[in-house]
Amino acid sequence: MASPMFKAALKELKFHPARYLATIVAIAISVGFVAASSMVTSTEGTASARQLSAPYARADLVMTLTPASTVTTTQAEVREAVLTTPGVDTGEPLINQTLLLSKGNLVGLASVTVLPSSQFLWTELREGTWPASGEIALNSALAKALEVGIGDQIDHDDTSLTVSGITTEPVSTFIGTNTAIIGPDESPTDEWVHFGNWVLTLNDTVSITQVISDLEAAIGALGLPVEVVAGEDYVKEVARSVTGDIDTFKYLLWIFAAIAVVVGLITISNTFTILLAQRQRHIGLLRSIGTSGKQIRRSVWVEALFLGLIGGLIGVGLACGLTAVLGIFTGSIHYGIHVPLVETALALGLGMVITLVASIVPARRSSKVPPLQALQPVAMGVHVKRVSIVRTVICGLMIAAGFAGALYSVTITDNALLVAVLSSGVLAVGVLFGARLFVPSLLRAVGFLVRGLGPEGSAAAKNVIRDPARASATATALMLAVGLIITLQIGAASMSISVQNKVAEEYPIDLFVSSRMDGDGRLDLPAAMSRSLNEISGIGRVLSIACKDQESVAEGETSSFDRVCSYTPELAAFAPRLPQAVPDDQIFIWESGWGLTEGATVELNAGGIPMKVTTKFEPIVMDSYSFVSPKVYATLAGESYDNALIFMKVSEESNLMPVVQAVEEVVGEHLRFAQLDGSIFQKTMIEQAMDIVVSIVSALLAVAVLIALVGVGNTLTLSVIERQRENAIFRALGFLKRQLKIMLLIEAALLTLIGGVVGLVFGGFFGWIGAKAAAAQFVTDGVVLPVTFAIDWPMTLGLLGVLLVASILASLLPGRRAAKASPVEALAEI
Amino acid sequence: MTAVEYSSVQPIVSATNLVKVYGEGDTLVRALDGVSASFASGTFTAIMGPSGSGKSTLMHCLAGLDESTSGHIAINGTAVESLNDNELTKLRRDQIGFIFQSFNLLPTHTAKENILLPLELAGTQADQNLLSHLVKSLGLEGRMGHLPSQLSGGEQQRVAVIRALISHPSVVFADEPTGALDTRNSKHLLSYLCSASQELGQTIIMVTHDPKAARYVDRAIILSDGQVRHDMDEPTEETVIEAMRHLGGE
Ligand SMILES: Nc1ncnc2c1ncn2[C@@H]1O[C@H](COP(=O)(O)OP(=O)(O)OP(=O)(O)O)[C@@H](O)[C@H]1O
Ligand SMILES: [Mg+2]
Repeated sequence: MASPMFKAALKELKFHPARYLATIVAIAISVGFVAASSMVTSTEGTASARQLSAPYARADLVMTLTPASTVTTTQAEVREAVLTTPGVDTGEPLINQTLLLSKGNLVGLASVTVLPSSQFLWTELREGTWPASGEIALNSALAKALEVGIGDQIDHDDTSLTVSGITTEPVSTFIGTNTAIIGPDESPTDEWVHFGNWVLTLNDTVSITQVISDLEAAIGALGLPVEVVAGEDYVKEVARSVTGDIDTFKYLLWIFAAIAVVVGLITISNTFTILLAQRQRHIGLLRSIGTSGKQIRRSVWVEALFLGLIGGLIGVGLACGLTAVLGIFTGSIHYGIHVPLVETALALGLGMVITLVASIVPARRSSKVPPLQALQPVAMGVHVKRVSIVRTVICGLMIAAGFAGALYSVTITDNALLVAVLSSGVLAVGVLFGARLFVPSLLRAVGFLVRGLGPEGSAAAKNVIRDPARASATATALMLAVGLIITLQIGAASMSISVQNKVAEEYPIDLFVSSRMDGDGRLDLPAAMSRSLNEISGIGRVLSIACKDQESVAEGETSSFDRVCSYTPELAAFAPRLPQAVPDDQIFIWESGWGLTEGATVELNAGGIPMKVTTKFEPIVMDSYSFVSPKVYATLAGESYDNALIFMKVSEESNLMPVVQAVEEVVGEHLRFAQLDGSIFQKTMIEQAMDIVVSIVSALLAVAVLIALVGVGNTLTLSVIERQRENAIFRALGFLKRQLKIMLLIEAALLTLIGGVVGLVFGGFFGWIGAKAAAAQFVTDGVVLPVTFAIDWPMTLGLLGVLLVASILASLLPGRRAAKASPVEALAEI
Repeated sequence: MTAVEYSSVQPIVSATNLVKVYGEGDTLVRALDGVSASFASGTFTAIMGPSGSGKSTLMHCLAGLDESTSGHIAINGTAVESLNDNELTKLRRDQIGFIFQSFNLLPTHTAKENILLPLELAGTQADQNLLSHLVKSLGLEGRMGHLPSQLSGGEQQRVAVIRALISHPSVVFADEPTGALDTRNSKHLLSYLCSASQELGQTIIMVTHDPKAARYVDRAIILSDGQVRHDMDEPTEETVIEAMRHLGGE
């Protein structure tokens, strides 16, 4: 292999390392992503498994009692049965439950175990002592979360516990639970027994299989379903179940890594095209002195494999670093970093394969150039190669078919998601491969606008379209990455808004206070509360609703409506959906509340005179409140509570948190009577849940965007090298250094803008189609959830902003390079 | 500045004791070794000499494309070495026209856009009469909308000539403008530059190693080893060849 071509390939790398920088970065990020997915999941998984199984590591046998509520066996009976089984040396339950611990308003969830005897104690104390009765030892993360130290008090329900020690156990992200150990006598109620796993040690008098069957018989005789396994098998089983969960997560990560790899592939392939175009004369020279086209191709492949290896090694290094940093963050580093060798090697191989694949087409193309043509003075002209008709037709058909299919999916409910996904896929492939058909025109159109920016602008506009294939490939990578993020964001935002609308439909009142149930029934709310609520800015409307307790007869059976309230005209203003009034012969009840159908007859108690109304489903607050017209209400018997309910309408939907906090504060003063509810809570919960999902997935897709931006910088850098002479002429004719930099900046911005905006438009379309189709899966009562197209503006505009800033950054290095070159050097004959 | 005040007729370009050193130690080359020369307004000067004598270096220094190691250059009364990069760029844009040997034009700009670029940069309007006069006299009618790749080498050079002349620069520098041209095109270009200097009063400094060019110029400066060896007015092909032949013997 030490052929002259191999040496030539290495020389290229040695003399022009800067030209390969972006490629190596792109490979490193792609490989790093894949490798990090394996390493992080493996490291965290190992840590989780080790942590979960730690308490059982010292047991010869682990006995699991399956909880059954009907069983009345006590712990003492189980202990008796265990200890009398031949071969058992010691045995005790590891009593464990997940509890909510609190300190003031700080809370923390912890897996709490009752202090076992010292031979089964798996963790160590960092400080303090093991807990005695009424005490608890926390792991340090939990102590930190609750802001407590040794000697402080924490609470669980009504019990107060003193912190006696801090353990060394870390938290691991995947199980994410903190751990605590409480004193030995701390209420090991019989209730806990069923949840305990027993740990046993054996003396070697009886074979382990014999002990297992004896134990199963003895405990089975007590009427408890039981499973006994060897300690080491138990530990393996825990590890296996954790690995199973974590593998699912790893495959998810790999999907995003795959996207990054595809974007990387486009970027790297583009680099090779440019590099080889620049080397055309060199290749022509080699060809004319007898190098075969095959040898040229081989040398490019060697170069690609070598680049792939370097980039891949850097990527694996990055992945190790990331895993270590995450491990420190989660505490998993306590159990060491775990590098899955096979998967890491595969990731490294993948880097080399994608680089090789990316180089195949450019290598073929350049090796086919006849020597004479390659030797002609560098064709610095504008490339005006035609797009092949086959490509135009195929991409055109795909775009048309995909578009039609996507629109069709909106009109159907059966298989809508499948049709939507398939046709969006076809459309996306058509758009991406057909980028050559429309990106140059778009660039020309936008370029026309920047011509107004003076000579820099018009030079930039001309430069970006001089090589349509290159510009399209650069923009395509960005289009793909941005398109995916936007698809996700718009899909999620549309879904979120649609679900929120549905919530608003079902729970029309933004916020309302109701009185709590007391031993004597419900009480009235303090009149002062309504006044205080009215003073909160952000609350547009406050209304006190009067209700009466009613025992009513419906369909011949006595049933309690709990409360019947007056539907005053002002109430209708609280939500657009609410009717203006309740007809005098109707009662609005919660949907299927009290098991009544719509149109059932109800007799209300009007001071002994029966008052007949028919039911209508009109959900307003909750099932214990029904509404009648003020006129009917006035005739009803029973004591009237004037402030039974307080309705609130927020005046502005944005920035709800401070308003909700202020309301909570007012209501909190009367917590004994009052309870706060409303659709705002559901809405914000949906919004937050969606936001979390979108943020995480966006962050993962951001890697692909990053690679695409590296691609923009790369295209520019290589163009600058190629246009060295041109830039020298610009300088000689009077372009300031600054103007040269601005020219490149505009070029970068144009490429980014086109890639970003096309990605945005199609991503938006896909997101909307996706949300529509997904909604079609949730048909309730034959009604499809109506989907509102929604854009998360701050996120979308933020993304565009980030892209623009990134494009400026991408132009900085090439700009510096272009400006630094002295005109004389650049004008020198090669 | 003081150096300039000595002469009664202020030269457009003057160089005093110009030294340019490349490299250091073993690889040290004195490309210019104390060159002094001044160029009066409206003259057409050829800088000649054997390969490696420092012609291009001298031109690059005079035009402010490259920095000299020591010495003094003034263009139209401005001391070049005192300028920073931006001021130098503006000096080039406003006072100097360039014609290079090849690759003169920006491939993305049409002939007309190439011609107008320096004016656009300076934010001034083209003298339309001058433009159409130049286009016509150089035989480039109908070629203005073409990209450089659609023009022949001779046409490209003529476009570069128009670009150099259109802004009435104080001085036009040309580095082997005929180097990539055939005899016929070379003659045409040289006689055109000659007439530009006579009719428009354009100062032109041209680097060439073609003795035939002598017939078109007012003055020839002959360099050797970075020093001025001959400075002759009204040179002819024969006198130049004669002067060049004696360089080796000295
Ligand atoms: N960048 C550089 N680094 C080192 N030496 C240089 C550099 N540029 C020029 N030289 C040297 O300076 C001397 C003068 O070079 P210059 O290019 O001015 O010659 P020239 O007269 O234009 O020659 P030619 O007729 O071949 O173009 C030569 O010896 C050359 O080797
Ligand atoms: Mg030269």
